[in-house]
Amino acid sequence: MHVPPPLCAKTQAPVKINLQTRRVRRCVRAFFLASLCLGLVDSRAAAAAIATPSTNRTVLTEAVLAEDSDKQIELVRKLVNAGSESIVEQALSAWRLGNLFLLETNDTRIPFLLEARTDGEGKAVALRLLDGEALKDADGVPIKFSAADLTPVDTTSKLRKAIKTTLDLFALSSPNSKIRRDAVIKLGQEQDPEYLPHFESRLQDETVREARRALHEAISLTLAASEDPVVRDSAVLRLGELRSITSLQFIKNLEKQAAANPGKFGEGTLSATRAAAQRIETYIAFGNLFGTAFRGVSLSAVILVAALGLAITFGLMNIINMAHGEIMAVGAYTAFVVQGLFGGGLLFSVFGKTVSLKGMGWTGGWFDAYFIVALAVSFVTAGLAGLALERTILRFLYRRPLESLLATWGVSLILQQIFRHTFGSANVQVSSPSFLSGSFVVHDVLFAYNRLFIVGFALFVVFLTWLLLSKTSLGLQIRAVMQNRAMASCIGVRTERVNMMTFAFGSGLAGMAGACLSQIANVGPSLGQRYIIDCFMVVVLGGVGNLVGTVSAAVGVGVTDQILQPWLGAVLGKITVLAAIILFLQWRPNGLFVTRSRSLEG
Amino acid sequence: MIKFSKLELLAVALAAFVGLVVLPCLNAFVPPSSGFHVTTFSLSLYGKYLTYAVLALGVNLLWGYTGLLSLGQCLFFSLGGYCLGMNMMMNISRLGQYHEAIPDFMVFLEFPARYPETGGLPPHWMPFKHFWFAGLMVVLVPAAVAALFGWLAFRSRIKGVYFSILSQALTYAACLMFFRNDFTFGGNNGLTDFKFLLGTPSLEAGEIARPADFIAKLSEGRDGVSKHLWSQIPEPSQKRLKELADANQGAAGEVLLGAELNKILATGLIYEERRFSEVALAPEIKRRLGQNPRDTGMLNLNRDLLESAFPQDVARKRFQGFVVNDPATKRALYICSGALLLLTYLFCRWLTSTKFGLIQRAVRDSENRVLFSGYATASFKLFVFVTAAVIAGLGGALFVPQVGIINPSEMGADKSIEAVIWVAVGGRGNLLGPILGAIGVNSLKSYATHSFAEQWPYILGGLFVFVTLFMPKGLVGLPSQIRAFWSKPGSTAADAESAAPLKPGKTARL
Amino acid sequence: MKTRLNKIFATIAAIGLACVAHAAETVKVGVLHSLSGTMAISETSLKDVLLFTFDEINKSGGIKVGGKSVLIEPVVVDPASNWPLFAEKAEQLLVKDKVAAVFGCWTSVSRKSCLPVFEKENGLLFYPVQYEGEELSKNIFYTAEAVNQQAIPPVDYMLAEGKKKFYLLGSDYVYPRTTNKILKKYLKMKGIPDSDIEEIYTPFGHTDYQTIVASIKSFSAGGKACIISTLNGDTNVPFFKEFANAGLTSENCPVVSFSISEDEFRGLPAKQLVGHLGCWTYFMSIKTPENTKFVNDFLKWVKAPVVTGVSYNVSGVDPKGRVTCSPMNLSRMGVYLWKQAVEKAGTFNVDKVRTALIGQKFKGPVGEVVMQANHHLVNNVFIGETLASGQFKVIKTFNAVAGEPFSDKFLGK
Repeated sequence: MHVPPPLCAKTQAPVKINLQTRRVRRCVRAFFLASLCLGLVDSRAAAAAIATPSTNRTVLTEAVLAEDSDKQIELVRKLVNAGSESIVEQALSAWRLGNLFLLETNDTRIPFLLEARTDGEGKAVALRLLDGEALKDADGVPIKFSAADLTPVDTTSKLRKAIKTTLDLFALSSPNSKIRRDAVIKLGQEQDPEYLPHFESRLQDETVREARRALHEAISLTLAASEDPVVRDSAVLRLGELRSITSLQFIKNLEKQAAANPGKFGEGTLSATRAAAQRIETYIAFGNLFGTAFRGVSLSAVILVAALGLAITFGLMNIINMAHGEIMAVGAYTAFVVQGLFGGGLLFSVFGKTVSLKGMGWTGGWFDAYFIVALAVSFVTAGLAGLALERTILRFLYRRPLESLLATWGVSLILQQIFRHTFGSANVQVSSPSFLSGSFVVHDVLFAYNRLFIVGFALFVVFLTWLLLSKTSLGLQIRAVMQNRAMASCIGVRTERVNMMTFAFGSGLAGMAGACLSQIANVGPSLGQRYIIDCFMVVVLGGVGNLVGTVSAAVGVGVTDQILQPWLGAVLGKITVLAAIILFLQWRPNGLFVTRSRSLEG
Repeated sequence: MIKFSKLELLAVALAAFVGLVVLPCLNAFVPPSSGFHVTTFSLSLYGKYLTYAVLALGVNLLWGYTGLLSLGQCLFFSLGGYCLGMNMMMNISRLGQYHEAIPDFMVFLEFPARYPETGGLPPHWMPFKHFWFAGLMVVLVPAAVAALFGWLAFRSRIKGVYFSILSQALTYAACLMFFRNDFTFGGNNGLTDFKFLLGTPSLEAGEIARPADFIAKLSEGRDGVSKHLWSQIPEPSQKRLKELADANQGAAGEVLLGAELNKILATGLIYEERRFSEVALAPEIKRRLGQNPRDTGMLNLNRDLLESAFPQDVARKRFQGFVVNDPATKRALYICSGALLLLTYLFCRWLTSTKFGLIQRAVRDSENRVLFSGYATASFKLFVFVTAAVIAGLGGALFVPQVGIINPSEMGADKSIEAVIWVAVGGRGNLLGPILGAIGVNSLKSYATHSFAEQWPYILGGLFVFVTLFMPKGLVGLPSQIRAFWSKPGSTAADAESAAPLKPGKTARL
Repeated sequence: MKTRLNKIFATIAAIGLACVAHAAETVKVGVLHSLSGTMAISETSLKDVLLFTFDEINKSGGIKVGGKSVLIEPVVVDPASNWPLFAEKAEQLLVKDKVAAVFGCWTSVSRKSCLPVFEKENGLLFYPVQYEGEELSKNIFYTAEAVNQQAIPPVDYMLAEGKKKFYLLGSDYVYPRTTNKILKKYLKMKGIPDSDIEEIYTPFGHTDYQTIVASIKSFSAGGKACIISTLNGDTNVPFFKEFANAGLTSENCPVVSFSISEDEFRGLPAKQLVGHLGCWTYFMSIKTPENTKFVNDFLKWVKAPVVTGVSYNVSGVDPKGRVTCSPMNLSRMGVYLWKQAVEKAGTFNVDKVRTALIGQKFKGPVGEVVMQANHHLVNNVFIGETLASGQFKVIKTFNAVAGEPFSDKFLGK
């Protein structure tokens, strides 16, 4: 964790504390502390000013050290206005997540944080919470700890809630409007009149529409809990006008109470809650409609991305590639390796020998860029894997397409076991870059960035494929070879080369799909198995050999699935989709789009 | 009639003799210490392979002879298995965890609340109590599903890879369906814990004439048998039984008493000379007592002893069935599987040698020409599809009692692909190949998962690739390939593939 | 030439050594865990920890039976996540290899498929994975957490935290359905109305949680909601990724997961899971001398895996990023309980060992366990909160909870 230099700087003599320790409770092993010395000597401090803890830091330290959790909560609440001091925010969130530690000796207890930067052994410099200086031993050398050896400062769930509330109040003045909005919604749920002044003062300066709406909602929701019927009823009606989904539950409860106890609540509350609830529910129904549409499109994109490679290798080349899923896994594992190379390095075993690769150790934006690189690299690795597969096995089987099913099934068994023996049987973690985490909301319909990315990616890949097939000479040759291999060969197309290129391209697409889907699903040895049936289904439904068909089939399957799911549940929904596909093919036995051909048995 | 070549007749007869007579005899009559002894484990393992071979023959009939590659044959295999499994579930009869008259999973999923009128048994389970019905369903259910699906598919002339993928979708959908607990077939755990085949020796509902009186008789313990039986019932149950008898609640009393007695009958022989001194035993029973029977024999004998001791209270029933885990039962199941395989072989041999078989192959090689010649190919294909489904169903029905479990993952798409692979490894388009393939691949898998637990996927995967590349006609094509290899020395691996080119007409085209 | 001769000599020497090693008496023990197929993801770690435990025991002199030291010789088979194959392999272990005991199975269906085999051949199976109960075989010892040891405690905790709405989310198979059925009954007993309990299932290997997360979002909109998840290990990644991206966190809607242990965490985005809860009878992070030793020894062992004293070639052990977790600990404790029972009985005879196992105590890494007459353990139960490091921080401990397989015993009929 990076700790900025202290804000206030007053001259003060270096404090030297000698700690004689024999008994160390819980936190740090004793030998660390033999003649431990804490110094405040830092280059800047030595030159001029020595840091003084700001009041906020003192309060924070006090809070950490307080024995009583109620007292702790009270002190944490005091920090509400310390949002501008980033150290307080950092320390609080570290506390909440269990990254704040305590150096405990006989007579002193010093809360500290660890720097984000770790050395080779995974240890980091300890920074004192009070002033942000490094803890040093008697020789003035900063002490390093490994987070794994330390026990974090205890928290209770109530305390964490209080910390979160304080952090949320900081968030009210965050420069990021999304964070502001989320915080307001969360605080509004508390219906705590204490927050009202904060909301109202914020409303004066707030310019962003979404955040303003959230503020109005929070204020109304808080007021709706009021005992005063006039205030309450108007707040409830206002919530209805705002179409506040978050308060629907509350309004419905209120409606129930009002109906059960008209004497206490009065007729006005009842009618107000009814009107508001109805308004919100209508709004939700519309939201669901659009939500379903987006979810359908996003699922379609996932299926499409996964199936596009197959549409090339199976649809165009007639190879029943049961190892398609494993080629996807090659891409996904490539993403994992690239991530390791950008980050902290990685270990894997090749034929029982452990190989260690050193990483770049990048963080932040540079690290996040790994994903883009991984997409490109996975295209290459999976393409190469496909190339190898085509050269060694499939090229012998062009005349016996059904048998490619058997050979590739064998290949898929082997590849899965290779993944297991190389990367372990457990799933590996492919993290989401920050630009793909989170979501934004338009009229209460959620748009997750990773989903949007996949939709965009699907469009991009489809465009790329279309470009290749219809605008390049290679595309022309591919189409010629796929339609009539013998004839193409006669007129001088190097069919061998075209086969090779086509299969490698299809495999590359599958690899990119694997890397891309690592953002929404897990990466493990049996990753491929869960897409393979859906992929074949989509290609067949669309019409073998027809890209437009594959795209429309994917959209059809995805949207239908999402429409059915809320009614039938995930399992029955899926069964219904499968049954619908079977029945649909009765009607159009060659799929949605038939590739026209004059040959009878084509 | 089928015309056999001498060699074929000899081979089939020899295989049938070794498989159906020699091996079971080696299991039954050779002492375990002998080197020639075949263990019951091995025999039942072979039995499993034989049912797989039956399935493979069905796949071959479709793929090798008609050119229809179905990736859903395991659906029919499992359906057959489920039908027989349901009958065997009913036979457990109060010997389950809960000692209730309905299968355990129904007790736990609170079926009695869902189907109160039948005591918890879903109505469609009711007729499966009878073995003949279950046996009929083993044939009819796969046939019906296949007929419906095939009719839809062939009517609209779905063929080639479309048919393959659709059949895969069908089995996948069925697999998901059976996974659901609400589908009343045991969900993910499926049907398991089978005890008896073809009947049950335990007390079933309605077999205790006057429960209240019988409880009173037992609790008074006037004779040795009553005293013994009552002492075997745990105390809380004793108390409850007395309460029920006093309240004259016969039905509830019968359920509990039946459960307790069944437990006692299943644990050990209830006979002791002193105990049965007052009971007149038939000489036949006395003879059996001398043989100190176990398993089925013991259960049967216990039942007979109970009937003799309480002729007025316990209904007479002769148990004709078998205990599933009994070595003799396993042997019988093995022989049945072998016989089924032989019959299937003969049937397929007959079918393919008739005019029908000729048309079948014509459909495979050029469906359009057959169509233009005036044949309704759809009906032909439908017939073959239904036949293959029935064959698979019969195989599945024999598979289940031998492995002791049937659950939805047997319908998974991968299982059907495996079946296709057996056929490919053995060699399709003839009848020996699939049998060799199914037995060979599964033996290899059994061996390798034990001896090369970590590496077996490499071995099996490698084998599939190798067979596809270098042995396009599978194991049975090997001799002719070797001959070709000898006559043309120095040919390389790739040549071997082109050395045995498939005639264009013979290729099962997509 | 010379090097080849050397090699031959080396080989002869190795064989000689192996023979010497063989000179010590050995007993065969079966390991029945899927090493390929869908379940390999979870079960491979259990195979590793079992081999590690055998090595541990062999190093310290093996099992002392009748004045002799007997070393454990593992027989590892791969049932390949295929349920009939589980039955076949179990029988093979019992009949062909004549193993003294079998350690294995993960899913309930795999256990159910081998159960008749163990009963027929009178074998011993130790089952280490949390399960739905409703079963009791004299041939199986369930070191696993029963429902009352894993599901009820965190629900109590959630109720105490003031949660009023429960979203029960699970994979569509028997364990989640059964557990949720029991929980629903329990929640009703605690006064939670039906309308505040939602029960949703997804198929195995489901990857699309958009609709479900959207419904959770509206379910938790009014606050005071929590999720009880029995999703199986593999489907947790898509679920939690969707969950986090929808802006849900452990503060506004905590998730209690029954199937995520430290081992599953290795493939999960831990940062997105901070603050969610797990409930097990063991956590790697618990600091006791025994646990520290177990963890350190295991982490050292995976780097150079061997089984001392017997000629068994260990392969396929992943050396990196390893952790220990509850099923692994329970697997290991099963071996020790069996060892103690064998030593007490003075024989490997199954019936005698079975009798000796009842009442057997073992001081495990995080406390003492006792094998009860109902073949389940008395064990400590911990509720833990997940940390960004993929570890759990214990927030509540229940001491000596007796495992009970049948729900009517702890819920009442």
